[in-house]
Amino acid sequence: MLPVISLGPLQLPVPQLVLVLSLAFSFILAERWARRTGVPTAVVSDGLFWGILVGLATARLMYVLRYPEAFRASPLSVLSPNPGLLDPVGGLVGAGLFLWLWGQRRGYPLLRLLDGITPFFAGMQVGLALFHAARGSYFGMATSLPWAVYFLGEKRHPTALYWAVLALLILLALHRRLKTSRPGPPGWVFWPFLVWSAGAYVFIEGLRGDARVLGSGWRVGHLVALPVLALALWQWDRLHLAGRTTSSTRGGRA
Amino acid sequence: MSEVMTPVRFRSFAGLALVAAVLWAWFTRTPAEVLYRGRLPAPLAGFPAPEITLPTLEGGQARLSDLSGTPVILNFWASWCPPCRLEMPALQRVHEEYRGRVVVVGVNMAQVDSIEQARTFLQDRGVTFPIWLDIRGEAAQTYQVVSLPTTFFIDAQGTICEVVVGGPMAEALLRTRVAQLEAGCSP
Repeated sequence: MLPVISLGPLQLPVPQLVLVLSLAFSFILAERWARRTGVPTAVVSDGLFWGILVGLATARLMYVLRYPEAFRASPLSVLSPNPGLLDPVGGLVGAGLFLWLWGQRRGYPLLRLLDGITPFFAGMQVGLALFHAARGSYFGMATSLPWAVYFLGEKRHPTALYWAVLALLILLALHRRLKTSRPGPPGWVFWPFLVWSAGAYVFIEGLRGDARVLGSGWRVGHLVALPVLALALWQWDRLHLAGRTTSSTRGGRA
Repeated sequence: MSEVMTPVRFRSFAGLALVAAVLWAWFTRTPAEVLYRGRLPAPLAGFPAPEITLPTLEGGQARLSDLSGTPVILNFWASWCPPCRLEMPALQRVHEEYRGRVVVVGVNMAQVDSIEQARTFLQDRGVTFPIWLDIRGEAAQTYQVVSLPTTFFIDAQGTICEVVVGGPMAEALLRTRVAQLEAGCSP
């Protein structure tokens, strides 16, 4: 576990600080790479800004609805900055719905908007991996490999660091794709990113020592990531096919 | 890269990737009893809470394992720590409302705090939940406390469900965690 930075009455644990810094970094990254994705920078900035705000508000609202008794007893807690009072799934659904509606009004389909903000997701993925590495969570299973780290009485896979390295490679792959390709049909950035990320997650999950497992031994993370990987591969395949069909019809480069 | 591939080749690669992922998931299946077997006590979520025995403010001795069977909120604090002071009333209210269902324990970092100042602070705030004194800093070392306050939420089976570093914690957070503690988090 890494130390804590104290700012007056505020205690900022390093893992949370890593997360806040990566949020800022990812936001800037998304703005800088926006044009290459085919979405105007202003649209990415506004979409991200309002998407994050709506996501946070929805995450808190969903949490309040899940535990109404707790908030009835202390209503001011609704305004608490505690991240432990957020419902992440509710927040993601809220932000997704907002982006869909917001994009419709501005003439951008959701997939096109997702292309624009994919660099943000890629940056946040690196931050999230580093957050887990700093917090000591996401630790691996026991191993005798030479790069194993000693943790909790055993030599273990440094799974959070594997994830950070893979997330960084995905970020570089994304950068290369944006640099070497012209903007394609909606989803041309998002689906490949989802394929790479789901693939990386499937690999990491298999080495985790703190994974949640079902009675049969299947890891819950795998049961979530595999369908996502299949869906993303299918969509990427469709895009690939559509791109080739279009280019052969036009006689241009795919 | 994909753009220069033929559709057949791309689809083959995609299929192979998916099959490899499914096989990896299949081969890394691990039953819970194997994954969690021999898990040593550690101050981390999902692990058995390490044992501590400390003197109490009232003069006796207290042992964490004596509270087994009841969920415990173990809060490390000091009287000079502003967020610790701010969250103390919320802990007290939870102690009063959930008495018998959850035990709130305050571990005062007596090694770096004045016991008299701590006692005065507790009296001023009307704190009545048990206060244990970490005079030699052993508990803080065992629980790897690097910041104050740090709170461990431990279920009735003695498994740490969550660690909250920093504060102050909102009262609603404490209440929701009590509900989760009662449901338990032991594998």
